[in-house]
Amino acid sequence: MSARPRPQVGDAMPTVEATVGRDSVIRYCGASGDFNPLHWSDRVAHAAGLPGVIAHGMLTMGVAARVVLEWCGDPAAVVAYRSRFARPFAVPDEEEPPRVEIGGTVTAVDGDLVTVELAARHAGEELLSRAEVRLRWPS
Amino acid sequence: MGLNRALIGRTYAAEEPYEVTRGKLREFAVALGGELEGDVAPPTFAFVATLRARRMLLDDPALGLRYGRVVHGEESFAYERPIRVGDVLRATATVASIEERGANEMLRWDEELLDAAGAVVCRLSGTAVSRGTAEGAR
Repeated sequence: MSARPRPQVGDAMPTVEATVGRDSVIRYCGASGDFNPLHWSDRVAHAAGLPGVIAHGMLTMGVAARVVLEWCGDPAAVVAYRSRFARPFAVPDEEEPPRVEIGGTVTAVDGDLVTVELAARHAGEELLSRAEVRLRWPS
Repeated sequence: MGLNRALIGRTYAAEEPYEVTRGKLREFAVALGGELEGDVAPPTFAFVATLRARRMLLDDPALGLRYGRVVHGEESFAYERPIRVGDVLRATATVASIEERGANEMLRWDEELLDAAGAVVCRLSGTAVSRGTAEGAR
């Protein structure tokens, strides 16, 4: 990573497409220690009224943070980060894994603190809502 | 049975500190489709370091939560400093509120991660949505 010039209000970061397949969800179970069966068992997911296994909200949020930090250039830049999970993100076991489009817009700049509103979309639907990250921009 | 509101305000503390290792951070970064950058944890790793305390809260039989009915509603992180390889972190999780939202119940937790010197590294707050357990849904 290398730091880029501090952005201005209204600047958009380039939209990046991330692949989130069933293997991603299983891998995140292991990496996070969150083995809630909704994240690996279609049977349990169906019983809970879901179409099937869903991704962890924290997986979507974590991928979005990776994208914004790759843009910013400093892995230690995050001061605050929050999001709601707008809807369950079902990840079927199919040959073509779901793709998530991640983008963001700078909504505030205060000294070296840069606030970015993030969006993560799958098949045209928002996965995150009120997603906002505050970065201490590297000088 | 709905969630037990008598537990609002109760704090759970992990028995042992969480030791942040390079191997775990690398595994976590790769799971997000990236790679470990230096010795800095991805920002959402704080949610992993608080897992034990949060599980003590969520798994408390007195709370009445059924794990297979729970989805994550929202999460927030406020960092005092990044988590790095070698950090030894202590986590607490507190039941902040329990509210009904339609057929569901919403449980909010507040969490803190402290370093070995007792300084706050990160404050977290999040909600779990317990699907279909509200009074009116039964």
